[in-house]
Amino acid sequence: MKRAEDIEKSFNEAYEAYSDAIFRFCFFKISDKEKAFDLAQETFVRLWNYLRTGDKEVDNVRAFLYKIARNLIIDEYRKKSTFSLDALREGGFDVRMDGHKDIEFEVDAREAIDAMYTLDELYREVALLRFVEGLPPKDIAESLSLTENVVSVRLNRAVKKLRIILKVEDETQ
Amino acid sequence: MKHNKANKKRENVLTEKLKLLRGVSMNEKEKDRMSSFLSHYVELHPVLGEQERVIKARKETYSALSATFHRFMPAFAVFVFFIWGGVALAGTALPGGPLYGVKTASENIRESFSFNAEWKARFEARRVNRRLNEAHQLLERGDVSEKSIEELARELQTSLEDLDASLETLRADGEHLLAFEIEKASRSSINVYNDVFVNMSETSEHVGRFLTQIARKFSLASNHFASGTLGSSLALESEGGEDDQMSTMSLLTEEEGVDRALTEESSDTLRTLQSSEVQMMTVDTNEKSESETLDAGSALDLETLRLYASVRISETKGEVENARRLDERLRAAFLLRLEEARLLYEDAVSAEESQDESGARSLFLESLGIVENVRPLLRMGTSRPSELFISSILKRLENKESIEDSSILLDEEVRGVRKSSEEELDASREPSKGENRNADAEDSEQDVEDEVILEGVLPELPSEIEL
Repeated sequence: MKRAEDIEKSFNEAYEAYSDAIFRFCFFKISDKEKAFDLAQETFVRLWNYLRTGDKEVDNVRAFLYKIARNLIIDEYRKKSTFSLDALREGGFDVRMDGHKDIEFEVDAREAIDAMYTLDELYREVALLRFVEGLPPKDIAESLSLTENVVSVRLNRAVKKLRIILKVEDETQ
Repeated sequence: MKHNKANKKRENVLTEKLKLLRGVSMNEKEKDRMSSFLSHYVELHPVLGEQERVIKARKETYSALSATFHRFMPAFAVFVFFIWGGVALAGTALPGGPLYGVKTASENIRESFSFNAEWKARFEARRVNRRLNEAHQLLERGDVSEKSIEELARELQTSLEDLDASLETLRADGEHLLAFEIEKASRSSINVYNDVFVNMSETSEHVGRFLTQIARKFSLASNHFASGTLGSSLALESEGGEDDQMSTMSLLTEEEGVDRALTEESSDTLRTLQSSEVQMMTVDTNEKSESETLDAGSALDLETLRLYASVRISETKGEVENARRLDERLRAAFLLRLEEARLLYEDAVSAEESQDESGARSLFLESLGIVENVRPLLRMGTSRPSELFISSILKRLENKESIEDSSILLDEEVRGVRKSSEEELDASREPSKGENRNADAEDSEQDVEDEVILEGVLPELPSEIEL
């Protein structure tokens, strides 16, 4: 059995490392910043409740967190069936620029967000985890409870669509 | 190669563009808020100790079970309602009915929950009673089909076997008195129904048919019915075969007779019995030996019923010789039965002397059973040539409450019957002297001591066996 200090330490590490990623994941899934915040917070509460029993080990905390978040989002979907992108745009969202204060960057970021939202949700979540969070297909499969094959197929389709939307073909020629 | 390079480049550009999305994150204020909330939460919900962990695990298990229960609750409620309703409806089902299987199945379930030997024995006794009650109800309704008889016979046999087994268990546990009480109660119940069936058989052709048919289905001659009407049929069936062709043939001819009578709507009981008896007597004209007649004595009671009927029919027809011959057979059968009771009693005394208490009780009980079962048949005796015989026996048997009395009486009875039998034979040749027979028979008790087959006075029974 792990000591209480060790459990707290591993929880804090997980929070520091993945709180933003989980928030982002929730945000792109649910299109509501406040709701995304609540869901991300609840995800960590669930993680703590799981760890505090002291007799349970988590091999891949990151994948585990995505699983919790995804289940919470599914519950949220059941409560409210659709989320509108228009509502998101109207409400606005605060993107932290990490020092990139220039307008060009903000325009590009907004374009990427729009491109992301044009994808079907199935492709959006794998694209987010692969290209934004940098997870390998294997971890994506574990996080989303899918097979690696399914993840690869979805990624492939997502890439094709994103290339067109973001005009990657033109830029590379 | 070039194509792959271009692809890689495109993917890098795409990744670079999408990496911008990392900028979507919580601002400092939100981060502080979440961090503060989680710290507080962790403080309020610290890592569990050993004891708390056990409690939590229990709660989780309970909660999971509770959730499952609530989930299946409606289906379970409907299921219980139908089962309960089915069993309740089946409570009054009769053999051959659609719900009778449910009734017996629910009894079997109840039986399987009878862990106490006494409880089980009492339950089995009640079950036998139920089967007899069902037979009574079937007969009253006149609803006697092949299917219902088969089902009833099967269940009755099972119930009797189970009762025997449970009584054996009780005795093995040393509860001889208790087993004795239960068996006695069960016997008296069987006797009551026996009387009812006998009386019914006089008024309804259905009953006669029923008794004959159930005898065919019931392959085992149970001790409980050994001397009862049903038992007679059973014994007749099981002990018949090649050794007792006459009995079997009688049974067959009676059934045929009854069947024929049933096809004629205008037929009544007398005609039914008449037709069967005429055929039976045709068989008799083949002159079966006296020993054969006596061999059939184990199946006395049904045979006796037939003989009563035959005597009456013969008298009605004015066949004096036939009536006399049949009456003789009747008396021989009674004598045989009483002798059997006496021999059993002697065996019981021997067992008592050799310290075999349970064996002795069982033999006493068997002896008493024969006497008790002969009683109702004696009461039925209304044929003129048998009147003296019956009245002399009844005089002795009535108002006697103990085995001891009955058994001693048996000894005297046999002598009396022997004597009266001989006088009857003489009297039948001179019908005008019939009025004085009673007095003659009573006086003759002192005179025939040297002639009786069953000698000696029966020893006294142990005092604890009181009925």
